Formats: sequence, structure tokens, C-alpha cells
Amino acid sequence: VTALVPLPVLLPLFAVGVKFLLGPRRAPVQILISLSVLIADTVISTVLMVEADRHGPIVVQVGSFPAPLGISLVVDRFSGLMLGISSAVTLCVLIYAQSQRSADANEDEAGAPLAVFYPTYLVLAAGIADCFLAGDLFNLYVGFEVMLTASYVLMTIGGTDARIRHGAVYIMVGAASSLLFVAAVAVAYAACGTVNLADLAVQLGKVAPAARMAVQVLLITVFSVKAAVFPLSAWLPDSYPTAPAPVTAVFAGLLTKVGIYSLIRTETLLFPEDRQTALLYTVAALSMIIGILGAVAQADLKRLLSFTLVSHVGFLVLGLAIGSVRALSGALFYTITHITVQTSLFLVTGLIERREGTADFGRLAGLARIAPLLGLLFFIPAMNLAGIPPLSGFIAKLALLQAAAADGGVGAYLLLGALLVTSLLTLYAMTKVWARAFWRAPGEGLGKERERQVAVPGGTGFAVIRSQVGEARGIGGRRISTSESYPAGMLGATVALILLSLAYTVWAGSIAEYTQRAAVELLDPNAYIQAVHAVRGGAR
Amino acid sequence: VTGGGAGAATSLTLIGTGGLLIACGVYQLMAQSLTRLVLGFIMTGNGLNVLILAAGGLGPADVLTQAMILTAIVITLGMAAFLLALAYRNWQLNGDDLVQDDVEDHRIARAAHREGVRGELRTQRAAYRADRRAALEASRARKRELREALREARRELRARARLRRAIAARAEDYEYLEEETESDTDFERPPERRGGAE
Repeated sequence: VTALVPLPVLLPLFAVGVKFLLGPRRAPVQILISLSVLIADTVISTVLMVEADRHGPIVVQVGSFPAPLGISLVVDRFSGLMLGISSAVTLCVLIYAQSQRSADANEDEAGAPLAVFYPTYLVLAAGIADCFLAGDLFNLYVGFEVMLTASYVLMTIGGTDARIRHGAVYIMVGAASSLLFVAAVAVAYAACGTVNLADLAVQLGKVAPAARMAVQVLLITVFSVKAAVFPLSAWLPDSYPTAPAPVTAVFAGLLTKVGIYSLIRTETLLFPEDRQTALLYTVAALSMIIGILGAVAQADLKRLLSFTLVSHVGFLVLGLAIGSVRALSGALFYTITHITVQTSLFLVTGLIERREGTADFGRLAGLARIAPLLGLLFFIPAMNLAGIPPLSGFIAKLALLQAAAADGGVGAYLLLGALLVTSLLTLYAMTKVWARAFWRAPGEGLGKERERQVAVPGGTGFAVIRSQVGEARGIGGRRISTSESYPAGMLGATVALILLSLAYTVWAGSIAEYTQRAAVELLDPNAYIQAVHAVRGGAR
Repeated sequence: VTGGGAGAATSLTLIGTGGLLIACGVYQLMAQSLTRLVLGFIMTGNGLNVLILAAGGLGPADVLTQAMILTAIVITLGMAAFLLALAYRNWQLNGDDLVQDDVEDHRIARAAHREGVRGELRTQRAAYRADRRAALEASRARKRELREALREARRELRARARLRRAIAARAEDYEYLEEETESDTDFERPPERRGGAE
């Protein structure tokens, strides 16, 4: 089993190499490679998840190098779960992107953006997997960089004006937080003489509290930027909506969750005794409330979803802030639910764009009558996001509510109130979209035409209003071609993700048990530390 | 096991250099031009690398810090190249390399501007209204004054007329008396000299 551990990182990277050897010409072979690699990834991740659950953390010392040089890769229940979900989601989004690309008539077969897209996408998958596997702070940094650099390319792919402008913000924020990460690594190394997470956990207990505090605050800041926790979240709703639909979907689903994963991992493993609970309480509540208030004010579906993303990241921080087994278990359950739901919502938005050419719900109208299938596909994840029973979002939120009530502190009750308000406002935001885009009579919206003739008041002439707001663009940066029918791959991938989120409801019991075990494991760092030390031979 | 770590001595020069580089870099990172941001990014990155080197401590070379620095340098280099390409593309498209404000900021600024304009209009309108009211008030007062003066003048005129009528009546009486007396004494004088007597 240990031989499987590095594969989620290595396979995609290897495939990228093969792709570059093949060049951009042989499209079918390329697609076959991408698909088979990500399918293999999903299978391996699932095996790892099950194995980690059965036998405890699996540790691999890469290349069997001795203690300080070798890099540890660790799979425990938490990272196994994240690996499994993330690889499944990346697979679905790849199928979706592939289908969208072939459906877009004006995408150039051999065009440069497409020759870049698939390799970069695989690098992104490798980076995400590396973040989940990293048992070492510096390797986590490298994983982040691999993932972020790939995401920079995907964000600005096609090089259109909007993507460059919004991408510049995204990239600079990412670069600045990476610099802070390096600073955190430097401080941790200066204080403890190691960057291995298991060793750090032992050493940080021995150093001065001020040093421990410095490392902790730096790490919280860095991961909060990546996870878009409130005061550091302004970049997200600004940059995500301009990227192509599948890219936004995979970013929204996974990139912020990698930040949350790292936050939970480092907080529970490195600072079990002196967590910054007050700070986490505050940012969790602010994220939830301010994020959802931002969402309510939006008129574009993609921007609205980006704001709900910020607000729902607050739920996950809430689980960490309360920090009991029940709260963490709820947070993990909500993490996988939210990955699936948020991704599928963005994929559905892509389908709406395919149909209408825009996701601005001032212009959309009557979709429930014109395209009932789209209505169904939007309705299920939207209600799941709002936490309507019996969907999995409700189950996870219920677990978080119970944890907050069981904690009983003032802060916990405030968070509980914030959670309820946020859920209600999420429902309001979703209802707003539903009422505008789906329930109005067809033709009541402003329509999808880019040019509209408007009678000049008081005159006889017509003015032509040319609007580019909310105009959807494909992967290559050109305008997407709209059609009445849905490409099979796009539809299939979306349906698959929605079915996955429904499966969470059906198997909620066993998933909740798994997250419960994962939370217990997280709150007892000794198992992790001992498993690492057993392989790499003791703390220094 | 190699490595510096907790409590190991380290070089003050390295820390000072690193701190200075980071300070300059962070200052550059505050700029809005992408080119400056790239410079700031590179400087800060190098400053942090120096700090990692310092974290390794003095004495025999620390392999781990060097490995980490090398990795960080490669990443910084790649990022710098990407950022420069981005700045170039931005320049190509827009003629500048400025990082734009985000959309929400724009909207808030626009809303604030609109609110400001609206407030200004409101105060202007209020001032205008106050002016109008004052002018109206003044004209009304003036009218009242004039009417008062008119009434006064009329009263005076009426009084004067009454007086004149009284005087006239009295005068008629006198004339009559005079005529009577004259007619008593007139008969001696010739008629052409009668007017001259008045």
C-alpha cells in the first residue's frame, strides 16, 4: 500500500511530461491520458482512504532518505478523505471541460490555450494531492506553489482583458501569501530546527510561547488567505467569476478547501494546547455574515456563488474554532458536502451560460419553463447549499449546530446564531436567483442579446446599447457558442456530482462515522506523530 | 543530524540584510504598477531566503536550509517570469500595467460618490429653498409696508380733502357774507373797478 502513496502526485506530473512529448496534435491520445490518469488517481485515493481508516496513518519516506532530508508523505483519515473527494471532483470537472471544449465551435483545436489547459489542469491536480499528502511544512509550501502556479495559468488562460485584470489581483494576493508562507517556514525552522510536521509538533511544545505564537499567527494568516476567510477574502469574489466555468468550479470546490485542510491540520497537530480560539471564533462569524451579505447584493450568478463560498468557508472555520470531536466531524462532513455542492453549482452555471450566453440573472428569465432540466439541476445543489433537509448540507449543519450548543460558551452560541442567520440568508439568495432566473415568465428578463435598441426619450431615433457585462467566455477566451441542447459530457459530469452529493445523504450514517473517527484522530496528534516516527526513526 | 535550530548562534549581518530586503520589498509591494510589484516580490523573496539561511545558524553548512532556499529561489524565479509576462500582456491590452481596484471597491466608491453628489444636491436645494423663502418673506414685508404707506397716504389725503372741503365751505360762507356786504356797499363804485378790488 505504501507504494501507492506518492502516486496521486506523481501520476499527473508524469502524464504532463508525456503530453509535452506528444505535443498538441494528438488530441484523442491526450484526452485518453488525462482521463485515465485521473481515474487511476481516484481509485488510488479511495484505496488509500480505506486503508488509512483500517490501519491508521500510512507514512512514506520518499526515496528512503534519512531523517532531515527525506520528505514524509502521510495519509491519515482526514487527508485520505480529502484526497478521495478531490480526485473524484477533478475527474468530473475534467470530463466537463473536455465536453465544453469540443462543444465550443470557435475553440481552436490546436490553439495554444488548449494545449496549455490540460497539462496545467493535471499539474493543479498534482499540487492539490501534494498538499493533502505533505507531512512536512516545506513540502506543504511546495504543494501550495505547484497548485497556485497552475491556478494562475488557468485563471489567466486565453489572456482576455478581464482575465488579465482580475487575474493580476488573484496572482498578487497569492504571491504575497506565498511569501508569508516562506516566512512561516523560516520562523518555524529557526525556532525548532525542523520542518517535519511530526517533529515540529514535538519541538513546538518545548520552545518559547512567543515563538510558537509567531509561527501560529503566520500560518493562520497564510491559510486564511488561501481559504478566503473574511478579512482576507476580498480577492476571491473578484477573480473567480472571470475564469472559464470549469476552472471556476474546480477552484471554488477545491482550492479554498486546501487552505481549510492546512488550517485544520496545522492547528490540531502543531498547536493542540494553545489554539487561537478567540481569533478563529471572530473570523468564522465575520466570514459567515459578511460573505452572505455580499452574496445577497449580487446580480450575477457567478459572483453570488463566490460570495456564498466565502460565507460557507466560515462554517468550516467554525468547526475548527469550537474544536470538539463533534464540531470537527461536522466540519469534515460539511467540507466534502460543500466541495461537491459548490462545484456542481458552478458547473450548472456553466450549463446556464451554454444555454443563454450569460449568468447575469437580470437577463435570465423563465428558465424553469424553457429548460426544466436546468431548473432541477440548479435546485438540488442550491437547496443543499441552503441546508434544506434531507440533503447532506442540512445534516452537516445540524452536526455543527449540535456541536456549538454542546460547547455552551458565549462564543459558541454567537456562532450558532451567525450560522442560523447565514443559512437563512443563503436560502434567501438562492430563492432570489430562483425567482429571477427560473420563475419569471420567459422574456421578462433583459434577454441575451448583446445589442439592444432603446427608443431615445423625446426623440424619434433609436440608441443601441452594447453590453458586455456577464458575457460568458470559454476556455480559450472566446465567446462560448450557445445551444439549446446540452453536451453529454457537461451534463453527465454535473449529474454525477449532484448524485454524489445525494449519496452523502443516503450514506450519511457511515460517512458521519468516518468523519467522527477522523476527528478523533485529528484531536489526538500522538497517533500521527508516532506513525511518522516509526517510519523515519524517532524525534531529534 | 545537521541543522541549526533552537538556540544556535546566527549572524546578525544576515538578519539585518534580510530585514532590509524585506522592508524594501514590502514597500514596493504597496505599489499599483505590476512591474513594481514584481520587483517587490523578488526583493521580499530574496530577503526571506536570506532569513532561512540565517535560521540555519553558523557553523557547518546546513544542507536542509540550502535545499529549501534553492527550491524557494526556483519558485520565485518562475513566478517573476510569469508576473512579467502578465504585466506585458496587460500593457499590450490596456497601455498600462496597473492592478485594478476590485469590483466591490468600485461599486462602493461609486455608491459613495452618488451619495455625496446627492447630499450636495440636497444642501443646495435646501439653501435655494431658504433663499426663496427669505425673498418671498422680504417681498411680502415690503408689500405690507407699501400697503401701510399707501393707506397712511390715503388717510392723510382724505383728511386733507376733508379740511379743504371745510375751508371751502367756510370760504363760501365768507364769500356770501362778503358778497352780501359788498352788495350793500357796491352801488357807489363803477362796475369795471369791482374786480380790481379783490
